[in-house]
Amino acid sequence: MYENRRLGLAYISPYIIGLIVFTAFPFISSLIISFTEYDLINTPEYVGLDNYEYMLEDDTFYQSMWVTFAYVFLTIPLKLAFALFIAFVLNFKLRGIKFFRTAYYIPSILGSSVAIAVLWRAIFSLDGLLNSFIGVFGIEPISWLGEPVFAMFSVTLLRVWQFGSAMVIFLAALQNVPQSQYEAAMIDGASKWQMFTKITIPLITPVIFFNFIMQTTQAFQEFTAPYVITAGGPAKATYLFSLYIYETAFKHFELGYGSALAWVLFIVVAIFTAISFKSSKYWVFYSGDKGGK
Amino acid sequence: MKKIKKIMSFVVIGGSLMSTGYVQADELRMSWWGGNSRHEATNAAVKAFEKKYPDIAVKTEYTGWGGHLERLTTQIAGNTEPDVMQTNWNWLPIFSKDGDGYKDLTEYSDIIDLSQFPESALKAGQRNGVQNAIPISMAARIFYYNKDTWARAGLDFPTTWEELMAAGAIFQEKLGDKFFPMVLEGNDIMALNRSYMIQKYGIPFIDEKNKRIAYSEEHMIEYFQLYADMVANHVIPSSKYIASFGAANLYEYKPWINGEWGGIYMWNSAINKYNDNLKPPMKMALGPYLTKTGATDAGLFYKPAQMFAIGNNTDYPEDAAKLINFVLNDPDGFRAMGLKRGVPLSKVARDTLVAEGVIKNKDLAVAGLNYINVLPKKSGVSQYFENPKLHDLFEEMQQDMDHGNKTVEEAAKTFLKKSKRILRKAMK
Repeated sequence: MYENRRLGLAYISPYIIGLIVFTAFPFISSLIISFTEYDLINTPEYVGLDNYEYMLEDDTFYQSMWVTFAYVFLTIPLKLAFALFIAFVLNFKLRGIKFFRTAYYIPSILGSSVAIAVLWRAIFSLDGLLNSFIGVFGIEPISWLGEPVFAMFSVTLLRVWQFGSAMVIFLAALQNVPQSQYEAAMIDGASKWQMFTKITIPLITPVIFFNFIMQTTQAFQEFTAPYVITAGGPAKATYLFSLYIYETAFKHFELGYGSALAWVLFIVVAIFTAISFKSSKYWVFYSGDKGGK
Repeated sequence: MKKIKKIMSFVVIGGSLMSTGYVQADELRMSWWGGNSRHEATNAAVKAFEKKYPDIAVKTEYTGWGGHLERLTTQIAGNTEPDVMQTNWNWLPIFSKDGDGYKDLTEYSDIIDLSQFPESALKAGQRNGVQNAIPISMAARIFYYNKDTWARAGLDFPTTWEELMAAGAIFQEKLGDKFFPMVLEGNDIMALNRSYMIQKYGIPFIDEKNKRIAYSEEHMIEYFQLYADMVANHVIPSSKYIASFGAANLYEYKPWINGEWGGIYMWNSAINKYNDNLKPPMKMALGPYLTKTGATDAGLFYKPAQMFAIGNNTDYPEDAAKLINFVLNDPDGFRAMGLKRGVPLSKVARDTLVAEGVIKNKDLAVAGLNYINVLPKKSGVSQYFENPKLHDLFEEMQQDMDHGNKTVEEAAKTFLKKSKRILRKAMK
C-alpha cells in the first residue's frame, strides 16, 4: 500500500517539483517583492505598501488597465463568435472538410510567435500589404498602426485570427450534440436558425463557458502582439498591462513595482473569473440540469 | 621509472594549473548589440579567435539595440550573463553600483594589454576605481545626411538651426509630403534639444547634485517647443507618423531605406548601419554641426561608444580576457572587426588599420570622429541622461503632444514633475 503510494508520488514528482520551482516559488516571491523596492541587481529594500499606494497616482496604470479591458472586451466576443461560426460550418459533411479543418487551425499552431507579429506589422504598416490592397480600389492609405483606434483594432485582429484552438473545442462540442434532437425539431417544423439558437447553443454552453474563461485569462496576459507590432503605441493606445509589467520590471528596473502591478492583474483576472463562474449558473446548461438552475 | 616520471609530471602540471585557478573554457559566451554589419564583423573576429585557440569555442548572442538591455538585465539578475559582453557607458551604475558588478580587468592585465588604451578612456570604464570595462571607441552624436535626397531638394546641408528649420518647407514643396530633411526618435530628440539648450544657455540637462532636471519651467517649455517646431515646420516626421510603420529599428523602415527621411542625428560609431541600409546608390555624408551664433560649446553628447566587460559569474575569466584582447589588440581580431564599432581606441589597432588603409578619413565613422575631435566640448553628459525611464517619459510626452493630448506647456510641466521621482530613485 505504502509502496504503491511512494511509487505514485515518484511518478508525479516531476510535475510537483516543476510546480513548486516554476510556479509556486515565483508566485510567492513576487508577492514578497511587491512590498520592496528592488532593482534586480541590488538587495531589495522593504517599503511596505508604497508600491500599491503609488499605483493610485500613476496615470500609466489607469491607461494600461483601460486599454487591457478594451482589448479583452473587443477580442473575446469576436474570437468566440468567429470560432463558433467556423466550427459550425466545418461541422457539415462536405467534400474535403478535413483539409479545411486543418487549414483553419494552422494560425493557432503558429501561436503567439514573434514571426507572425512581424508579419502582421508588415501587413498593417502604412506602406504595407493592406494599404496596397485598398489602394487598388482608390482608397487613400490608412495609418493602421499610427492612430490609436486603428492600432488597437490591428492588434486585436491578430488574436481573433488565431481562433483555431477555440474552434476545435467548439467543433468537438458540436459533434456531440445528439442528431435525434435536430430530427425531432425538423419534424416539428423548426427553422435552421431556431435549431441553432434553441438546440445547438444551449447544449454547448459548457464549452462556450470553458472557451470564454480560457480565452479571457489569455487575453488579459497578451504580450507578444503589442510588443512587436506597436511597442505599446501610439500614445500608449496598445500598452497592455503585461507590457507595462514587463517594462516596469525589466526596462525600468523597478521589480518591486512591477510585481505589485502583476498582483493587481492577478486579482483583476481572479475577480473577473469569479464573476463569470457566478453568472454561469444562469446561462450554462449541464446535462442533467433542469432549466439551467 | 619512466612511468613514475610521467605520472609526476601530470601531477605537477595539474597542480600548478589548479593553484592558479585556471580552468580552460570549452565554450565561452559573448554578447553584443548592433546592426547586421557589426554582427558579421564580430562573428568573423570570433571565428579568427577560434582558429587561434582551437580548444575554445565561442557561442555568440547578438541582437539589435531594442530590448538588449532588458535581456542583459535578466541574465545578470539570474547570474547567467555571458562571459564576455558588450556593455554601455551608462549601464555601469546600473549593474555595478560599487564596482563589483563585473570582473576587475586589471587582474587580467597580463592577458589584456591595457597599455594600448589612453588613461582617460580607461577611466570611463571604471566604477568606484575598479576597471569594470574597456571602452572600444569614443563616439558622439552628430549630423549625417542622405546626400542624394538633399541634392534632389537642391539644398546644401544646414549650418545653423534656422537653416534646418527652413529646409522642411523646401523638402515638402520640392519632393513631396513624404520627404523630410531629418528623422529623429525620442532618444535623438532628447540629445539634439539638449545640445541646442547648451549652446543657448550653457545649462546641462541633469543636475546630479540636486537629483533633478537642471532646467527651469521656461527652459523645459523651450526644450519641448523645439520639437514641436521641428514637426510643425516639416523638418522631421512626428512620432505619430513614424508609429504608422510599426515598431522597428529606424534603419529598417522603408522611408529610411528609400531616402524619404533625409538625415539623422546619430552616433558616428553607429552610422554605417544606417548608411548600409540605404537603397543603392544613395549614400550618407557628414554634415556641419548646427551652431548658434556666439555659442562656445557645441553641447555634444560625447562618450565611450561601447565597452567590453567580463561577467562576474564567469568560470573562465582568463579565456574571456583572451577573447577581449584578441578582438581589441590582436591583428587578426581587429582586422576582422574593422570599423564596425567605430574607430578603435586601441593604439596598435588604430596604427595598423591606418597603415593598412582601413581607417580612411573619408569613412563616415572616421570623418565623424575627426570632426568631433575639433568641436568645442566643454560640458560633460551625466550618466543618468540616458536613464531608460526618463527616455520613456520623454517619448510619452512627445506622443501626447503629437496626438493632441497635451500642449507643449503641459508636456514640459508633466515631464519636470515626473522626472523628479525617476532621478531620485536612479541616484539613490
